Amino acid sequence: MGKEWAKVRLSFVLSLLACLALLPLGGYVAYLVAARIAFRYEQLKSFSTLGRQDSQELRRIGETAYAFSVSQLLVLEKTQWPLERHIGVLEKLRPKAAHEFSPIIELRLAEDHAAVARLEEQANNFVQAAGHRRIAEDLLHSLGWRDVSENALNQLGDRQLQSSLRRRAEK
Amino acid sequence: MTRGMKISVVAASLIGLMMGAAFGVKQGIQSARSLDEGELLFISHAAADFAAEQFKYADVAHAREATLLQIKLLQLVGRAGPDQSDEKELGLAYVRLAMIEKSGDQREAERAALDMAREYFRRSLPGKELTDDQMRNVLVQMDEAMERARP
Repeated sequence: MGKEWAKVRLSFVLSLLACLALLPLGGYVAYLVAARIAFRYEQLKSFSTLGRQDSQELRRIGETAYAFSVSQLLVLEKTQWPLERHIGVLEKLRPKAAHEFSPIIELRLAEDHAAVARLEEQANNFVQAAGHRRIAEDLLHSLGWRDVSENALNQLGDRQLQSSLRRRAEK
Repeated sequence: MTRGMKISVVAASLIGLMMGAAFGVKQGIQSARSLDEGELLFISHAAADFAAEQFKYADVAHAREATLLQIKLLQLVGRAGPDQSDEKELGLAYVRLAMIEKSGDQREAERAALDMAREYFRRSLPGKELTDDQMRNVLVQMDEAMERARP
């Protein structure tokens, strides 16, 4: 009788433990799978008013815009290291970007190069400064900027750096 | 294990699966919608910023190209859902286009762009009719505000 009772008790404890383990485990797995499926389904459904081609185009542009905008967080502080990292991120994004978005990325790249050129100049690295300025000049030239002289590029670089300083002062 | 205990284990698994799936579906839909809204907002913002900058510094052809790109993207975003449509932003983009056409001495194109701008402003501000100068002033003020808020 005592042995039987112990067996029943053990079996009860084991099944209770199994219940306690399976409830959250099953829930977590189901959550992950369902969230993924629902996300994909919702994304396929979204922008359906546009038709297949336009919705795909908007999705592509949206993904680029998202990556571009999130990358701006890198340069909240416009010092050399974040600016150079940002240039690297934009250079990687550029070939993958929706082509409508390319000029927008190029303009930001030019602004970053102009700002880095100013910082290099301040650190007496004139060769590097000239290199960055040349890249900015080429990009801005292709974007049709009326003035891409050294003076204009310096002003552009200063504007970029000052916007960071201004924000810091506002804080 | 008794039959009752087996049923309890299966029931616990099923309850876990159902609860997880219900939360998962809700979360998946919410995430997709937030991402869509964020992306559309980023598109409009980046295009407006670009058009404003090109308007200020680029030649007429490139400035026009940038503004037409902004208009195209805003219209695409607007067609994605009626609640995404930004008539005021489109009105401002057409005012910018008009100013670009004016600087390129394209009077007819300027007039057409101003008429489009007025149409969009009429939709966003019902009952309020803006003059050409008022529309231009709004754009200038918006550009100044954007310049100050620029990252």
